[in-house]
Amino acid sequence: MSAAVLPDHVSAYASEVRRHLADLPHEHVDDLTDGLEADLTEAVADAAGAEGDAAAVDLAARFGHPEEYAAELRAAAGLPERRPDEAAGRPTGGRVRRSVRSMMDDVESAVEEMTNQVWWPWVRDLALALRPVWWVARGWVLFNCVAVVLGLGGGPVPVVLPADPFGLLVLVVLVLTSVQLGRGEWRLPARARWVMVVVSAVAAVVLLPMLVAAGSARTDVRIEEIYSQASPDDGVYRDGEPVRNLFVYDADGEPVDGARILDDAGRPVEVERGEGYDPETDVTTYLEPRLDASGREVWNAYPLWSWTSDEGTWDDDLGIVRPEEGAAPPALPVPRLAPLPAPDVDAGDDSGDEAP
Amino acid sequence: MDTTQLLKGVLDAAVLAVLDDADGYGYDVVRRLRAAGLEGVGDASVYGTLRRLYAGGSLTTYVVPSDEGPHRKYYGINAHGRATLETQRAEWHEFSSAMTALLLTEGEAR
Repeated sequence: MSAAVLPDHVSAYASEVRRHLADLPHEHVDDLTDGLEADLTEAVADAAGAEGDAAAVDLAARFGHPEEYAAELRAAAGLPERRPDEAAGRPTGGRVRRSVRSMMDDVESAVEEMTNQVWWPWVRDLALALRPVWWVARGWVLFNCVAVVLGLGGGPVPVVLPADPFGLLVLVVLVLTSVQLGRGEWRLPARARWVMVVVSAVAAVVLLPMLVAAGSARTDVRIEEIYSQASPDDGVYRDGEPVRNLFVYDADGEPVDGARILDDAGRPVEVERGEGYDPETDVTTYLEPRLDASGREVWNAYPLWSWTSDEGTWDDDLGIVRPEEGAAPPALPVPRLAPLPAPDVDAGDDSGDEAP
Repeated sequence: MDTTQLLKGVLDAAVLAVLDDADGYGYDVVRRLRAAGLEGVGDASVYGTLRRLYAGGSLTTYVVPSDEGPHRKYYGINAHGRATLETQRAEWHEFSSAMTALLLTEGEAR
C-alpha cells in the first residue's frame, strides 16, 4: 500500500477538516477524526487503484470540500452544526486582524495535527508531570532578572542560589508566588493575566541560557576554592618549595642537636611530615622525630633524623624502607658556620644584661 | 430518487449489520457497505455514524497498531447493538414489504 507516499495532501485535508470542527469539545473532535488520515489514505489508495497515480487523486473532488466533509461527519454523528458566528460571522476587522486570524488558524491546525499524533498523549502526560519543575524554574528566572536590576544575589548573576540572605528571601518569595499561581492557588485579576503570560513567555525563552550561565558561574567559584585550598596550610617553605629538614647553628657556628623551634606565638614550627619522593633521583627520603620523656613524637626538634630509600631495605611490617641500624642523624649541609661576633656591650641599653 | 436521502434513514442498520458480520475500522466499513451495493454512501457519514453508535452504547472499540501507518480504531458490535439491529431489521422488513407492495401496485397499475 502507498500509505507512506501520501501524507502531505492527506494530512492537509485532515487538518482542514479538524479546523472546521474546532468549535466542538476536544474529545469529540478526537473521537470523530481519530484515524481520519489512515482512512483517507486507504480510500485514496483505492481510488488510485482504479484511476492511476495515488498522489494525483484530488481529495476535494473525491470527498468534497473539507468543510462539507466536516459537516457530514458531525451530522452523521448527531452533533450540532457549526454555529454561524463561528463559521463565517466572526467580526471582520482590518486586514491585519484578518491575517492575524489566519495565522492563528494555522497555529491552531498545526497544534491539532500534533495533538493527533500517537506519541502526543505520552508527551502531554510527561509535560503535565513536569509542570511543578517549570513553576520553580519560572520563579528562579524571575529572581535572576530582578537580581540584575537590584544588584541582589551577593555576587555575579545569574546564580543558582543567592549568597546573601535578602536575595535568598526574594528568591523564595518569587518561587512560591510562581508555584501558587501555577497551581491555581492564587489568582491574578483577569485584567492582569497578560502580565503572567508575558512573564512566562520571557522566562521560557531565557531559562536555558540563564541555566548555562549560572552553571558556568558556579564552576568558576569551585575553581577558586580549589586554588585557595592549594595554599600551604602547614610546613616550612622556601622559594615555594617545602623544606624537608632544619639545621640549627649556635652563635659560635657549631651545629645544635635537638634544637626545638617555636614561632612568635609559641607554636612548634614543623616541616612537612612523611615521605618525600624525588622523581628525578627516584629516591624517597624518610623522616623520624625525636621522642620526649613520655615517648611522644617531637616534630619540632631539629635536625630530624632521616634516611633515604637507598640506605635501607623494605620492611613489610612498617610498609616503608628502613635502614638496618635504625635512623641516624642526617649529614649536615655544612659542618659549621663562622662564629658571630659577640654582641657589643655598649651598643644599647637593652643589651646591657647580655654582657658576659 | 435521491439515494443519499434514503441512506440516511437506514445507515445505522447497515453499519450495525456490517459489524455484526465482523469487526472493522472506519474505511473498512465504508468499503464493505459499497461492496454490498450501497455505492453512494459517504465516508464521513459512516465515520460519524460509527461515532454516534459508539457514543450510544451499541459498539465497542479497540485500537490495533499498524506496522505501516497510524493505528487502526476497530469497532465491534455488542449486545445492545445486536438488540438494536434486531429491532431495525424487523422495522425494515415491515417497511420494505409495504413499500414493495405499494410500488408494485403502482407499477402494475400504469
